[in-house]
Amino acid sequence: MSELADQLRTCPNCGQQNAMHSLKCIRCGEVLEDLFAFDDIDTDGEEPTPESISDVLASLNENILLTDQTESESSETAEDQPNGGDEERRSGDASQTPGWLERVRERTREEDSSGEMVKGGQAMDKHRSAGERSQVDQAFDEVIQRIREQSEKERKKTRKMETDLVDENGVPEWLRRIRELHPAHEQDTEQVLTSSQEESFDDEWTDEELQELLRREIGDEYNPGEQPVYNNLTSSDNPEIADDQSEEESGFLPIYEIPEDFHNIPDDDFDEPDNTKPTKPGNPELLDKDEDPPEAGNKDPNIETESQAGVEIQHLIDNPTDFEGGESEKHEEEENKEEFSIIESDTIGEELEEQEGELPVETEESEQAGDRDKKILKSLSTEEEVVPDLLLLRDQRDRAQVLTNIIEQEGHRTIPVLHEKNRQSKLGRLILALLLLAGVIISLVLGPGDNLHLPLSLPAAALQEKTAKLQSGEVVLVVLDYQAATSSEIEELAKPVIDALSYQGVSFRFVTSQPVDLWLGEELLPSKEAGLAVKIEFIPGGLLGYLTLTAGTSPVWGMTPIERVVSGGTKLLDETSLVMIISDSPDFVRNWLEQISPWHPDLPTLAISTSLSEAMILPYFESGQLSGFLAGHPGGEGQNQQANQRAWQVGMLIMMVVLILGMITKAEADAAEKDEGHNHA
Amino acid sequence: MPDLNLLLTLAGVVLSLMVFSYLLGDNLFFGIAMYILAGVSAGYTAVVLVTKVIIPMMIMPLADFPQIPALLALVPILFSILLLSAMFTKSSKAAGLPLGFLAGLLAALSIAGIARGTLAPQLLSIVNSFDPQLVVSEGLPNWTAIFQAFMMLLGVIAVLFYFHHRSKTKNSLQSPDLWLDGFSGVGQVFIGITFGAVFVGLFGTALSALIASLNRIIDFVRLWI
Repeated sequence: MSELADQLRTCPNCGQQNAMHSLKCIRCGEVLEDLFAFDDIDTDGEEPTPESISDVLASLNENILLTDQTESESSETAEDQPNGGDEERRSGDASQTPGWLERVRERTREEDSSGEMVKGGQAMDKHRSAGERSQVDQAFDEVIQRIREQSEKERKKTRKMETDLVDENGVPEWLRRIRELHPAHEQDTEQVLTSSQEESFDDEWTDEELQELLRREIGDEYNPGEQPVYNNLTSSDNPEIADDQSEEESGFLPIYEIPEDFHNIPDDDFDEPDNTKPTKPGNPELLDKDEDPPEAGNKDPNIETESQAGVEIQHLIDNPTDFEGGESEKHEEEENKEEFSIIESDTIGEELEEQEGELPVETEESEQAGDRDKKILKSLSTEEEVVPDLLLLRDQRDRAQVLTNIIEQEGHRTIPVLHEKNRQSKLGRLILALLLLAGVIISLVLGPGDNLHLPLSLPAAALQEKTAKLQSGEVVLVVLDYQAATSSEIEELAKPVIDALSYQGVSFRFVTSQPVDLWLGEELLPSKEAGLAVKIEFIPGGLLGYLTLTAGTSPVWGMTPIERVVSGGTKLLDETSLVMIISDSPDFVRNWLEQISPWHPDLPTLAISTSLSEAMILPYFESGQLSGFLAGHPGGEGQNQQANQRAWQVGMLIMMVVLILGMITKAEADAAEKDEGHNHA
Repeated sequence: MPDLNLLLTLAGVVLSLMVFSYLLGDNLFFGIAMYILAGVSAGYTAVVLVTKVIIPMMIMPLADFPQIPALLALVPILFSILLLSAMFTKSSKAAGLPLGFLAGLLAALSIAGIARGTLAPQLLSIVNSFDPQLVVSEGLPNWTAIFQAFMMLLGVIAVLFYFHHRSKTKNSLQSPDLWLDGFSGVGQVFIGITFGAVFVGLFGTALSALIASLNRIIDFVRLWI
């Protein structure tokens, strides 16, 4: 394509640069017959060799690109009447065909008497039947289809590579192009959004923008510095449009130099290097279908095949629906739309839908941009029928508008924050909390109900049995490890047990590694009426401190620092009859059983904990590591005296109802969602 | 009721109401209550550690400097200096020494403790549940003990199989067998029951705290009625 674009011809009448294959000057309509020349033909009048002429005419016959519409319309008649029909048409078209074409035909007739092409053509006509034609047509269609698919794959790969390109700043190639094309949109977004200034905003396709777009589309082949030539965006295969073009139209319309093979459609099958298209500009692009059919037969199968293929290609040109037009164009447009939707609709489309309500001005601007594009298209061509290339330009314009909107939204929040809850969820939680509060408050105001005398759980009964066996003077080590938030539950459980032990005359030693328990534990100390003066000792180092005091030994050179601050030192558990862990953490109980208890396996360990820990420490009771434990509100020893059982029951009942309702609602929602999924499927 | 106790009770009631205001959303009162809680807890903890740990265990032994306890006291001082150096220098290599020592010590203790304090006793507990003396009572089978023992064994195997089967199906593209899925589902049932029990315990703990707080507020209000 680049070679073709570089070949220009100057019109002798007006000096206009024309494409090499142009039949007429695109400005003045002057027939460019003197410009018609072959590479291997001496224009000074020297006779070309028969072989060269034959090759040129053969390639002319195989060319599918540059056959005008007039020839296509009359091709069917020519095929039906290969001999007589051509003669009549030559005589009928003699007045309309230019002189250069007549000379070409003359040379072709001269060549027919001895040329190989004519012989091959005659052989082809003799042997071609209707069945063979259909087979050849089918085979050719398959070949074209394969070429087209291969080209499509390569084009997609190329597009993907271009899309993935980023510059040193990490800006994608497509984004940089849009920014360059629309600097005004980025620099002044408010100007776009302001309705009062919207009319004055120049959003039309300017000459510079179109030149820039053309330059990017055709690359280095486009040189805006050259003499501008208006080309009506028509290829040489449609000379009628060029004939209708007037000087006035070219005067006020924007003047661009557009190569004849320029289009916004990515390179399609015609750009594929196949045998059906000559690539050199000097080759006969101006093949006239009215050339005389071959007269001499040729039995050479190769020549016959080539000639037959050339005729079939010519047939395809004559019937565009078989090759490029009609449904093929629609299919290609659909493919373009599909690509656009695949690449951008998933991401851009969703964001635009979300922003549709927020950015009505931009949506209106998109619609207005579409209207302006229509006006541009109308002004560019007097034809009612819009050139497909311009339709694609409008498609690109819409894409640019979409991407511009995205650029404007850079830095703005487009999705809700994750922790941001909706109003309905907040309202539901508030209603649930108020319901729970109301139930608990009412039950508390009504006062405690009758004692339920719930049976003790097995671990609680074991704890009660173990503590009852303690004798007066025995020492119980109470290890405190709980926080203020759970102190109410812990104290309700532990206080009756400690009071009962103190009543039995048991001695206590309170230790803790939590600073807050130094004053929280004071609520658990036995009453002064019992005559016990107990203080809480702080064990630094947490579990490691306990381990040092239980598993360590006193060195010969003196006392370790921790032995200095803890009375008794490493004999913390030596004089202890029972260990009672009061903790709200199941991990602390487990760590004690794992790290401390194995050093004194004969020392029974009890635990008082919250209901949270009940399920976690139960296995240690089953394994015998815990001699008993007291956990949770119900079943706890002494709960009936201090805890408000009614409030507890009301709270649990409300939560159970809420959970059941939640499960039912969730099941219904899942079922509805499943039904919707089936309906969509 | 003494005046100090009255003021403390009033402060407790006000703080409780400020925490309850979180039902209406994250607001200023809830934030104030949280800041007060964090500030008071941190300040109190710092005071306790200084008076009960740093001074008696780090500073006081230095008085007997030539002796071994004083030399031993230099070790935590050195570690403390290394940890503090991380606050003033970008490199944390120096602070990594005491942290590495502590982490390694805890890891070793945890491994040994879990093996000796959890795995071995729990496995022995499962085996002992099939003790003939437990499953037979007065010459007759104790069906309750037998059922409990088998359920315990089934739960352990099913849960272990669930995790093993889950990791295996993640790494393979083959469709699992039906019975494998079914047995894995049994493990899921046991896990679900465990989580349900933990959730009930968590809610019970929170409900106890709520009842205690509301009870204090109601008692405080009743004082003025």
